[in-house]
Amino acid sequence: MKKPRKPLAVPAKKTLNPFEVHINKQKMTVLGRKTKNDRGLPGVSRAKALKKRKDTLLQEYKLQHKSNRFTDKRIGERNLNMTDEDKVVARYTAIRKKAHKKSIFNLADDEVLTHKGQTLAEIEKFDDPRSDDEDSLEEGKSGNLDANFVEDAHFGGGILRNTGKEGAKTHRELIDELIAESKKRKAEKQKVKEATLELTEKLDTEWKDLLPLVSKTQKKEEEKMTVDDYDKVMRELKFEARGTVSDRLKTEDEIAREENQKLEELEQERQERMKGFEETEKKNTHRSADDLDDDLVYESDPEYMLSYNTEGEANLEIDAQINGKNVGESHDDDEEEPENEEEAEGAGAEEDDTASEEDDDLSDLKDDTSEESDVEETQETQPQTIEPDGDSLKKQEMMEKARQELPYTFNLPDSYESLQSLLENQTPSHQGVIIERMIKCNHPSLAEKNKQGLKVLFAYLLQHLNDCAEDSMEKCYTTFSVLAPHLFDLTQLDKENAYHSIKEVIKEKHEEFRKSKKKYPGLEILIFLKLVSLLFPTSDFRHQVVTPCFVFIEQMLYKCRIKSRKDIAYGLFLVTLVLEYTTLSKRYLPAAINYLGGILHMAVPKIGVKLIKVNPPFQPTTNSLVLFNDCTSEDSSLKMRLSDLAEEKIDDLFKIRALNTTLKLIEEFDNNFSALPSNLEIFKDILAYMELLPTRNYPQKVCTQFERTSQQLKSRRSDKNLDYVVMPAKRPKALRLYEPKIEEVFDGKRRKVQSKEKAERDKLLHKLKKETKGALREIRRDKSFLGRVKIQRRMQSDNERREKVKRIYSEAAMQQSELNSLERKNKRKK
Amino acid sequence: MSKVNKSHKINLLQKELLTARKNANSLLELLTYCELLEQEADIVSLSAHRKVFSHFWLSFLRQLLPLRVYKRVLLMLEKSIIPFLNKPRLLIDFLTESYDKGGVYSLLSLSGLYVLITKYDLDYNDFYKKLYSLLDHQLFFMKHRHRFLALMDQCLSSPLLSASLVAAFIKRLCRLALRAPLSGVAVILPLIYNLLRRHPNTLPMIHRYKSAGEDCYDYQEVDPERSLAIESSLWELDALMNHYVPSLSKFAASFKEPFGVADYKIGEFLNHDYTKIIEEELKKKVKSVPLEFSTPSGLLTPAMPMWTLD
Repeated sequence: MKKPRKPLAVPAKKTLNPFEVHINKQKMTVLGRKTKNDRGLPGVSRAKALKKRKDTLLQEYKLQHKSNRFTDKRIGERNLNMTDEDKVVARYTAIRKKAHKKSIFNLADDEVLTHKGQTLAEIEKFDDPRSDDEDSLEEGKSGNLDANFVEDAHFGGGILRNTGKEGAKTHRELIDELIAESKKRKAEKQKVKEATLELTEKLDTEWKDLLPLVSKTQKKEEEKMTVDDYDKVMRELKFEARGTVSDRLKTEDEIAREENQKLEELEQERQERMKGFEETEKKNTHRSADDLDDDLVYESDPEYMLSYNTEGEANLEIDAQINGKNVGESHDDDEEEPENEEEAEGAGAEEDDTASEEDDDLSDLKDDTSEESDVEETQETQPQTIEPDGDSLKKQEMMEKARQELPYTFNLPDSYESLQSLLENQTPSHQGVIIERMIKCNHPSLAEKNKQGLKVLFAYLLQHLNDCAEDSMEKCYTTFSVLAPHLFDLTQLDKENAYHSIKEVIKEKHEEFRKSKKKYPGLEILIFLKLVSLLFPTSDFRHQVVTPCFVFIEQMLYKCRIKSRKDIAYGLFLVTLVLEYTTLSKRYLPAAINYLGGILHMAVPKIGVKLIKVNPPFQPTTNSLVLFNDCTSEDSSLKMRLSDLAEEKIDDLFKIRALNTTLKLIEEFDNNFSALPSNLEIFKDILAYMELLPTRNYPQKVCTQFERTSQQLKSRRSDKNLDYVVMPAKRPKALRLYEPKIEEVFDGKRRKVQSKEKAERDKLLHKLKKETKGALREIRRDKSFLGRVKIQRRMQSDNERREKVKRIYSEAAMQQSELNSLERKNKRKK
Repeated sequence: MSKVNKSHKINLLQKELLTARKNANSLLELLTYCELLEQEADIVSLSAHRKVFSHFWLSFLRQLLPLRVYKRVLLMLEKSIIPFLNKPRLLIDFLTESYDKGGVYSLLSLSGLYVLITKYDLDYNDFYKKLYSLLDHQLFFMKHRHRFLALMDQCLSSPLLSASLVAAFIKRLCRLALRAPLSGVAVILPLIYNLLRRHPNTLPMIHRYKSAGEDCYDYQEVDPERSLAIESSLWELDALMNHYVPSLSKFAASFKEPFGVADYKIGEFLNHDYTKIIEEELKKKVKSVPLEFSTPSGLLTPAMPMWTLD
């Protein structure tokens, strides 16, 4: 009954019954706005909803409280995605599958089909792909018998054709003849085929020999086209560039000023990078006085660019921050830069010379090196102030000597082994000269491929440093000191490469370290971390190389166990590195402070039962740095030695050195963090340890250092006056504007100005509300639907009952009436 | 299963239990036995069975357990023991004892206590005091700190806590951040943020116009309510703003901006470790690499005057 109804319903949908359409009135009509809900079909949608409920809710209601149920296991019956055809196919395949179920007793099933002793699969490989199409085309040559023969032999046995000639031959002979003929032909054919194959193969091999002969003839024609020298020269002269006007040579003064300016710019950039996020914040918070709190942004006016900042004030500040150190260095650079320029010019001159003459090159380089040594003199004098011994002078002399001994040109190494063999038996100073000359001779401006070569050289040098550190320490330190400037130069030449190589090194070293986390790794890591600080600015807020190094340092300081002298020295070196990394930026690394505290704790004698608390990785019971013997008269250098990094045993001198260095470092760090309001809390533990530390066994110098440090820390406490933390003032809300707020593209929607998270949250809340409302409405309708169903059932059952009662009554009445009439009849009879 | 069968089984279990208890050395055996019991509990959900289970566990926990087993019990307590006991509140003795033990045991027993307090109406007066005393420098080097910190965030999410209590927690966490390793700082910052956001009464800690003179917070005080943290201010944030990891430094700086609407999910901050951060930093794509511009002079630069080449 249902099926014929459906097609009726469809056309009804298409032609809307005007009485069914309900038009939602709009209060205001807005031009160009399309609304989805301007008209609705309440009847239709209600019917739809009703039908859906009948299909789902009503079925459930009917099955309520019923535990038995039919499950339809026909394939695809409950899958809505399958069409009828699909179902049929699926069922059919299932049946087939069932039929094909292998019986384990049927052995013949997996028999292999063969042809001429070969399996079909083997035949199908088609090992010899030569087709025999051509053979089949030529009938005569094929192995088959020709038509006449076949006609005679097979069908020619009639009486009419019998001439008597063949009479002598019996049928058997005939057949034999036939077979022989056939075989002969086949053999012939095979022979011919083989011959042609042989020939083609021969031709193939010989063809290659012939090839040059053919091409030669063509080349001869081309040769005629070549130009002679005269034409060439003439053309060169014709197209040669004319002389151009160049800038005048700068005076020394100007050059110096330019250099200075360049340095200042670099310093400025560094400072900006150091501030990192603060910088961007400042840009955002800047508002002009006319800002009206609308989103209008004027282009930043040039007046705001702090004209006085570039003049005097900022520079003074910078100088003050890098006291002494940078001034000396800036002179260095002053002297070196012009030299570099000259070098570049020299390189340019060399480029002009098409014929590269060795002598010329050498004289150039000689000049260079002599100048270079001057520069180095000034460089060398600098560390002299720190190390008052004649070490550096000696070193310089050795460098001079090395310069004279070594050849002047070096090729870039093509493998690490070649570089190794070149540097193997040289002293560090010799190595320095070799690398220096190598870089000079193969400057990227000289040839295109040099750039690639220098890239590789950088990586090789890193590897060389690594190997040196594994071999012997002292050699490694000197090698490092010598190579560092050259690595610096290489970095300046190609920073991308330097970044990638160093990155790889750090990654590798960290992976190595991860394998044994509790042990301090090899010394080469110290060397590389130091190298990073020389090549990259450590003060940046975020730096691609320096930041991972920082993390690495912290990990070592927190995770590694401190057992022997070298561990302590290693940690102290790391902390010194941290200090060096952070002097400019004043960044805070908790591990460094923790480590210093731990070292002090190790020097505190633990006499009482009460444990003195200390943070990991230090043990609360270690006494290894406590000085038991009287060393007041000890008078040796108090500086840490690089050789400490290798030794295991802790002696008294080392204890003194370590304590002194720790105190100094604490002082430096305290100076660094003096601006922080929580400075006091940072050094609280350290101060507590210092109060517990007896100084009577230490030499005078250490005692004074101790006094000074503790005095400094205590004074911080007394002269501290903290202000409460205050949030930055909020932007005052601007008054309402009378001018229209202008939007570039107006799309008629008003958007709230709010953060992304808030918008997301609001959206979700709105959605939740909508969904809840919808769900409630649905539940209400479901309930009313069920109510209707129930009441209908009730009415139906009532009706039935009434009918039944009526029927019974009527039947009873009929009976009664019959009875009555019977009675009446009986009465009458009486 | 028939009733006879069940009672028979229970009888058997009890017998086995008794023999196992007699054999005091084989505590581990008991443990495996208990796992067996759990599996049974799924099949036969019977109050009698529960009773046996609870009885067994309570008597088991009364033993002097070896530390390894003790830890294991604490770890499985929340998920696989408490829900099946018929009177979980009886565990209070065991839990408070281990909570007072300190170290890892306190960290581990917190989850069980938390469940008892929130779901089974347990009243434990010194809960927060104890929680406060667990906050220590050692915490950030312990094994199960992640679970603990996430739970602590939950424990402190109640809006009914007093401002002075929450302030003490905030201040203490701040202090710890000054010494904590990277992974610690990475969790502490969002924790503080959540606490400040949920308890607006503590906001004066980051915004107050007054000259203080000195930090009045008492770190040594055991009672968080008396530590005067609410009178103090979060100066430590300044140090953290100078932290060397850029992301943490930025996070610390975000306290100066208006707070967002949603809490940070602590779980997202728990897996910050060194390797991950190093790898992330090294992976960052770069446009240009800034370089140092002063020429180096050797291994021991003037910034390292404490070292000699010897």
